Order: sequence, then C-alpha cells, then structure tokens
Amino acid sequence: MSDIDDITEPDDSMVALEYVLGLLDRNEFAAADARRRADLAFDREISAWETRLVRFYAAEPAVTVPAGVRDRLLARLFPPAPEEIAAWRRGLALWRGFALAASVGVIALGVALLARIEPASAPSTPIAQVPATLPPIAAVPAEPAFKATYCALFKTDERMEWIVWADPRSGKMRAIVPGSQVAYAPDQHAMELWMLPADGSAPRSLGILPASGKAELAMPTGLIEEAKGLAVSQEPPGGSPTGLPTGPVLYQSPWWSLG
Amino acid sequence: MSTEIEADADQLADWLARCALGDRRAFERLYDATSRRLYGILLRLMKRRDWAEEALQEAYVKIWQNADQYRADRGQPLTWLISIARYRALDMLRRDKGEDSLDERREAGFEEVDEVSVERMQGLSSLAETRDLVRCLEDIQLEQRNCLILAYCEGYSHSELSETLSRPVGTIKSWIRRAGQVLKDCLEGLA
Repeated sequence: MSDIDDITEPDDSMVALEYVLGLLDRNEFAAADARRRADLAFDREISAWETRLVRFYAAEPAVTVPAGVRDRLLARLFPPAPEEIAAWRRGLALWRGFALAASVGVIALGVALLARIEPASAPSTPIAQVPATLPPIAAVPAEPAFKATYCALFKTDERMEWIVWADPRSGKMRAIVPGSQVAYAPDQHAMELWMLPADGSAPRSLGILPASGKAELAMPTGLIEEAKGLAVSQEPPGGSPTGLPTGPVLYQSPWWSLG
Repeated sequence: MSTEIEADADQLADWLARCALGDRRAFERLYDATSRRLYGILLRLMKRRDWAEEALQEAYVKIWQNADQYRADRGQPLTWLISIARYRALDMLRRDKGEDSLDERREAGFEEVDEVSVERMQGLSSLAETRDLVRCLEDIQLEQRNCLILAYCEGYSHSELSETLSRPVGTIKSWIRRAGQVLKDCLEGLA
C-alpha cells in the first residue's frame, strides 16, 4: 500500500462508486450502508452510480433459470398455512383405516411380488402367509449393494400400485410398479412419496414414484425410526411446487420389517 | 436497459408495490418477468451456476421482504432489482467464498481480461441506448476502463484486479476512481 497514487480523501461520489462496485472492505461497507439510510444526498450518489453503471448490462443475455429454483424460492417464502397441513393429515387418517384393514392380505401379496419381481432381500424371518406355490424368498439371488430390510406397499382395492423397499445400510430405496402396469400418466401429474414424521412435524418428500418400471430413491437418515408412516399424494408434473403435499393423498402404508 | 424493459418499468413498479402489500401473485409475475435477466447477470459475476442460483434465490427473498423500500425517484425498478442481486452476489464472493473465490471463478470460466473488455464495448456499441455510455467510456484510458468493467461486470475486487493485472492495489484504486470521475463528468456533460 506504499505506492498509493491517489492520496487525497475520496469525495462522496467516489465512495458511492466503490460501494456500488463492491470494493469497500467490510467495515467501510457497513459504514456506507448505515450512512446511506440516514443521508439522502449520499443515498442519491449511490443510486446515481447504480443507474449509470447498470447500462453495462444492456447487452447481457438473459439466461433460463434452472427448473426448481422458482419452486424452492416460493416454498421458502410461502410455506403452507398450519390449517392446510391439518386438512392434509385428516385426509390421511381416513386412508390409514383402509390400509390397516387390508394389511394382512397386502403383506402376503407384497412379499409374493417381492419374490417374483425384485431380487432385493432375503428376510431372516418370513412376515406373513406366503403362498406355498411361490418360489422361496431365500432362492432369489441377492444384490450385494442393496439389501432391503423394510418395505411399504401401496395398493388400491384392485391392484398393487407400488412396492417400495428400503435398505438403511446403503441409504437407498427402490420403488417398482409391478409387472407391465402403468400407475399414472406422468405428463398429467406426478405421484410423490412422503414420510410422515412421528413427531407430527411436516411431511418430508422422498421423491417421485415411477409411473412404470422401477426407480431408485435416496433414503434420508432416520427415515425408518422417525416415521410413523408413508403416504403418496397426487401432485403436478415434476412434484409438489411447495415442498409439502398439495394434492389429494391417495395411498398410505406403514414400514413393514423384513428382518 | 433494453427498450422492452423500459416499456415495462411501470408494470414492474406496480408489481413491486403489490409485493409490498403481500401479494404473492404479483411476486410470481415479477420473478417470471425478471429472473432470467438477473440470473444472466449473476452468472457473469459469479461464473459458477450453483453460486448464481443461490444468490438469485437470496436476492428474490430480499426483494420480497424489502419491496416497500423501492423508491421511483432513485431509479428504474429493474435497476433496483439488479442492484439487490449484485450486492448479494458480491457479498457472497467477498465474504462467504473467501480467498478461493477468484480461483473458483477462473476454473468455472473466466475469460481473458482484454477479451472481456473488448466484448463488452462491442456489445454496448451495437445498442442505440448506450451510445452516450460508449462515447464516454472511450474517453477513459484503456487500463482504467478495463478495471472499471472487470469490477462492475465480472465482480473483481481490488486485490483480484491487482493480482490479475500485476499492479499494486493502490494503483488499481486510483485507476478506478479516475475512470469513475471521467465517466461521471462525461455523462453529466452529455445530459
């Protein structure tokens, strides 16, 4: 700093220029910022530089903002009101009743499908009545990287829509639509999977379930222990725009332990 | 700014006024109308997309929270929006990203100093509304003009300019002030 060419004190206009250019150090910036609020003349100097220099951007191309930034911003600024969340939970309670009533049959079907479709896991103890005609689960070749120890089943009265396997050790979940079924039309909406925290806090999104075939989803830490259940809601294509369920809750399941 | 944006200034001011009253829909329209411009500017300043996205989101949070502070007598609404985004980006570059900021930005795509300046001048020369700005910039000594452009458009700090141009920080400070004074005097003379 021994070679400063300009030893005179800068006038307000030059301080304002350095403020706009972001060239003041932290203390100088804080001082200028405070002064700006109290000193109209100084505030005008800053606005004048902002107006002079902004024209440097006249030829700057606009760039498409990546999808998701807008949704995250709106979810942050406008979280759903508590009564919206309460209404969503009430809807969920209805579905919980249906799901529990059907649970034994659902488990049997789910395990049967597990054995047939997804070589995910070899449970240490069978959960429920697996029909004797199906191949034994232990005979399914295991995938070393993914060993499911929990599953969740989402079904209508007519058919199984999704089976979700979870392997807490690898931190992964797999969701499949059985057979060649198509669960929904992805160009019209998305089916989003939610974890319902046992402590009653807001549902947490686990991702979009596949419309057909299978998908791998990341598994947040604590997903099994902290969950009182899982739910699927119908959302716009791409998923909930708010970070919380916005559409009707169509399916619900607890986690079933496989081991 | 482009003619299109100037024609929209009243609309932007109206949306900002509605934002100040808590109108979410007005905010969404404001975002849809301006976010591409702000993102382009933030990418120019920060180079890294993840940083620019973060700054963009922070900027719009501030825009929503401070919409009542927009004053029409201080400038165009878009200028106010751009200023908020720039200050947020500069704050991130100087304070959050720290010493490695310049290296990170270089890796993400800094162009050669001379190219930046030449391209900027060519871009501005092609527009009718910046004719007076270009004329005044041409009055500034080349090295000093480069410093001003790199600081404003590319987010260089004094020390980053010093390192890049191999000149002492004091010289850089002096150059920028001189460039600013010439530009200000020239533009006021033409007004």
